[in-house]
Amino acid sequence: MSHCPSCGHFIGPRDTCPHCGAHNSDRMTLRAIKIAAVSVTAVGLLLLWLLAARAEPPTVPIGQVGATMNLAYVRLMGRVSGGPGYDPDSHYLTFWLSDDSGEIYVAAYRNEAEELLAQANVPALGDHVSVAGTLRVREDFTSLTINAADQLDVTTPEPSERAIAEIDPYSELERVRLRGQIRDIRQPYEGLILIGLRDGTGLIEIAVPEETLALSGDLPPLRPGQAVIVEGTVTFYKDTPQLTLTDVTDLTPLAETAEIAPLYLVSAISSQDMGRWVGVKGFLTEIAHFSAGVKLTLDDGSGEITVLLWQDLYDELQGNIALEEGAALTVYGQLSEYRDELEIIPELPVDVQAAAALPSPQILAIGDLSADDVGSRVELDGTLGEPDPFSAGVKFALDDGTGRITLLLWQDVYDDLAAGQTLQAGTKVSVVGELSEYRGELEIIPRRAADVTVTGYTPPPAQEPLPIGRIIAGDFIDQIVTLTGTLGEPQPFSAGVKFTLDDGSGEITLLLWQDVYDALGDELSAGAQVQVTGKIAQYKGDLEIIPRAAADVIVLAPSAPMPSPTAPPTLAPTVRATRPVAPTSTPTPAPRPTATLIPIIPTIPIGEIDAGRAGETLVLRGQVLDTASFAGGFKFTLDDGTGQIVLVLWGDIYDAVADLAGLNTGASVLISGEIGQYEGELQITPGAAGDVSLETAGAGPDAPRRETGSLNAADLGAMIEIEGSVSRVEEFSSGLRVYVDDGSGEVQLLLWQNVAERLPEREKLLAGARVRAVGEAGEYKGAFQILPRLPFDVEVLD
Amino acid sequence: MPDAALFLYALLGAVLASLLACIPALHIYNVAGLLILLNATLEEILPPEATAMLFLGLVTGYAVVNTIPSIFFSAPDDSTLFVVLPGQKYLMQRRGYEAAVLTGLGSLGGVIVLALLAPLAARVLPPLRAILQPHVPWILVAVIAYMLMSEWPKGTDRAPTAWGKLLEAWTSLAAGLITFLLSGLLGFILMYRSLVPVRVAYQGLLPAFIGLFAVPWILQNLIARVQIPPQHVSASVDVSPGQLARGVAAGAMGGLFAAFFPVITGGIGGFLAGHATAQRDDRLFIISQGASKVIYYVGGLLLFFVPGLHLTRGGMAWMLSTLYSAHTPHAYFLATAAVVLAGGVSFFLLLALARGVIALLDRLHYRTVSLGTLGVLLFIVIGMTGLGGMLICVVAAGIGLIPVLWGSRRMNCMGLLLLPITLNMLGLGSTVAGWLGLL
Repeated sequence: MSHCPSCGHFIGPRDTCPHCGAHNSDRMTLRAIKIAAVSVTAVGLLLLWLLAARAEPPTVPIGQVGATMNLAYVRLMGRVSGGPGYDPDSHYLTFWLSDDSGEIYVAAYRNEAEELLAQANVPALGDHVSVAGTLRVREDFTSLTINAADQLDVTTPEPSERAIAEIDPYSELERVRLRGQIRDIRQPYEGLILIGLRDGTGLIEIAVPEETLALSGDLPPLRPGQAVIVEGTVTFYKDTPQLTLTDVTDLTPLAETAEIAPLYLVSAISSQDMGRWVGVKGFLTEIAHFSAGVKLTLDDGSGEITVLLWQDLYDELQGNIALEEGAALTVYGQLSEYRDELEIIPELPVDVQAAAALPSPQILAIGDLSADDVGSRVELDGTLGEPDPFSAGVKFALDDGTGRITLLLWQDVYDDLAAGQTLQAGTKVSVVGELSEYRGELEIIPRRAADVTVTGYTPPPAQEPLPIGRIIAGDFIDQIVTLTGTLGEPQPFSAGVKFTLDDGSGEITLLLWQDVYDALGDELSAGAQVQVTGKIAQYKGDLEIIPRAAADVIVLAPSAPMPSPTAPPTLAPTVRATRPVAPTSTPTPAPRPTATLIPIIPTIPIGEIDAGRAGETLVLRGQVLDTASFAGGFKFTLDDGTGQIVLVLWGDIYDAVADLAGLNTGASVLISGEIGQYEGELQITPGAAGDVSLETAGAGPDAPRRETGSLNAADLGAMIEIEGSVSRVEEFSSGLRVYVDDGSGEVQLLLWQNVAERLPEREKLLAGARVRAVGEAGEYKGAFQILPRLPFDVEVLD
Repeated sequence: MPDAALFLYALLGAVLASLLACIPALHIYNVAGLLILLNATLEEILPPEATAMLFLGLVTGYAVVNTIPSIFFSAPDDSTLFVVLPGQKYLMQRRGYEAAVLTGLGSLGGVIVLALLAPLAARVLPPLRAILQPHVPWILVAVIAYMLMSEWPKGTDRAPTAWGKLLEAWTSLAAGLITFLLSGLLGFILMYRSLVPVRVAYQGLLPAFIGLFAVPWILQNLIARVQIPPQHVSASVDVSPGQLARGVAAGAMGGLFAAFFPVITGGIGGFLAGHATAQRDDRLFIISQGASKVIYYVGGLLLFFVPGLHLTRGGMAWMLSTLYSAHTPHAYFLATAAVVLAGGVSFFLLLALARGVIALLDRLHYRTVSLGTLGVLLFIVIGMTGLGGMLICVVAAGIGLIPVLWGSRRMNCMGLLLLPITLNMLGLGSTVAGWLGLL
């Protein structure tokens, strides 16, 4: 080759070109390079295409998407947490996708969005989505662009049937199906419709964003009161759950009605239900107009309740429903309270409906009743046993031959009944009332006197008087017996008068409550011979017979004339407050009180007190079951057989209470105070010491005596009595630590400040003193303690 | 961070980029990509606003100085393709330095154009974008059509038969079309199923660009064994102020077009502007390419700072957008000032570095430089994108060799982006991807 193949100059026989330095031999032809280039391209591209076609886009957790993944083609899987949104002008379809690691904005533009819409493959809120696309990572925003419509796989979860109350924060983004009634329809702003939906458990709002309308069309015609079934996704607005409608076809109007609140008996409704929605079915018994509307009184047999209709609602109801006395209505509304009276306040006309006739109570055999029937309203027929008066009324045994149940007549019911007819053992009655249970025993409680109908009388076999000596010897506690005997001197006490009754075989106390005593007038005096029918009770070891009524005391022979007392004293009204009631005090003959000096104070059964009476000042009577101390004073749990309440005595009140030593467990007290509730505990708080009247002194808690060194973990929480010598006394910021040793070992007597500062003979509580104390066993840092609750639980003996 | 400190970052970027730009075929985007990777480590000394300024300095320095390898080592990137022919002519005429200066003057003019447009940008560009946005797909189709249709037969007319002559003439045309289609096919694969690991997806196009543009030129240099004549460092340049202004104006048109429209690169913009202004003068052409290059690279990044526009154009803006957002006019004018500062410094560095390279040309063998560059590039490809990236690079290099070997425009390699993105904008991308089995 005479010319250079690279530069074309003449090179003659040279192997290397002197012009460009190119070699003349071992050269690769351009054709070979071209073939190589095309081959590499073809084979490489084919290989690349084969690899690419077989590769799946990598699935990436949303939270791992970072700056270096910008423009990556990836697959994301998660749940739609926002949107979808669709802009018809720009044809953008967007939604938010979230998984456990994060959330990302997903967008499909124009053709892809149109294709998704055409395929009806638009994800809804809460749907599970698998989507492939190109990541776009910006400093403040990350998104994924869908490049092909078929790269979006949407799985809509099956909705779960729920009640509204079952929707909680854990339900977020879950798809649920609700059935309820539309309460209202509103548009808080352009682009959002809110539909209030209520079922028997609560209220929720259905959110219909404009995107839903844009994607799925218009809502069907809806009106308040309409029953609907709706599927949607649970979302939250601030902390309030709502159901977001993702497709208008998921909201279906129903022909039937929907229950928007549970139906209650009026008697089962209390102020604790305040704010709740309730339903009541009953008869309209009264219509009262007031300036802003109408109040209806609804009676369902178990009680009456007020239904408040605001004027606009009342006007709407007029013409649609006969609101006249005697009409049977079903009313739904929110429970409210106005001046201590519960009211149901309906919202919509559909909340007040004409009801079918109310069902009659079932007539049942007593033997068929069980605890399962508690709360139901029943009718029972039977024969009354002996009356058993208690502080808030009278109880009878009711027997129909198949079983026995307690008939509880509250005092007002009993008084109404007793005014027109006699209720006594043997009286046959038909009773309509609600079944209740108290201390394991079934009771029927008629609401009013009309619920008890006397149907006949079968005299019980006459009771022969029993010798008192037999009463003393036998076990007759709580039994009704008849005794005869001669009365001793009257011994008045705060709630009545006591006599001794002696028939020669023995002596027993005759306890006459004040009302019984007053009804007997002057017939009773020392030396009179009487026949008494009453319940045998025991008080501080002494047997008592307690007649229920004046009729139970028959004067067989009046007393012989007694010498006139030289100066019959008249008890001042405050006599109760100054009367010594210490259990150890010896009763002394006292002048007979007059009815005007110790008036009968009407009391309320504790069982009738609930939180709805908070703020009221009530008078009640009860027995102290338990005591406690707190920094500001002391507490006493009172029980009157119908219920319990806590008596709270602030320190200054407590200090001023008369007969303070007797105010302890077992005491009977008459209290006037304000009702309150603290941490769910019903309380009565007297405003002055005079509001606390100690009727009988309490002996204190029943606490076994234990050796000081014998306390162990099993004793924790139990009431224990100890007695021993004080080895040392330590003051600390909150009280005193007194170390007591009876020779078996030392135990700490912990006296909180409010107890310690009120200790009787506190100055004698020194090392070497002998003490007796009752308190709750506790433990602190491994050391056992006794914690007296009241100052009088600690006694310095010497 | 005080503005003065931010300017220092821009200055640092300009100096760094000016030095790195002398390495043939090393794109500044590769350097920025490394910085993105190291971002978590460098966060203490390189907070986001400092990164933004550094990137501005980098891209400005690179846009001004990368004319050196384009002229002296014939290693162009996608935006400097058109400098090569007149630039090589100058090189062979011992006027390489003058060509570098002319390009630098054009670049400086581009910087001035950007500075002059700064007050108007926030007012003009957002509405302009809103107007043009719906029309982008057909504009891209028109650009592609013009690119392909403006190829002309390049036969020697020596074939013995008429069919032979026709075949020879159409070989380059066919090569251009094939290059465009193959690179477009490669673009589809990369867009839907790239072999580049997802954790470095932001550099997904790096192996393709190196393969399409850098490797073929290096291979060409290795094969051709060009002997460069000694270069003359002139004290003046053969251009009048009027010609300079005309060149800058033409370049600004192309640059602005490329910067504003997606996918259009500086090379394409320059090509369109050249045809639009019908320039026949090599000097004007070189100047316009210098201006176009700067406006494309730097202006594209500045669009990211324009208040109310916040447009992401060009690789640098895409990378920066993952770390930083500019929203205030202050940030925009600060960025423009940094560009002016970096541009001025880079121009003077260009002059110095061009003289330095000329001094080295005698001692540094052209073949050695090319081999070294190839090694560096392959190392970057493997290091950043792994074997998958390497495979992409090899395939892209094969495609990139076609226009070199058959004498068609290398610009057709931009089919890598133009074809899939235009089809996507037309709503046909997923259909084609489906035909290719990529979905």
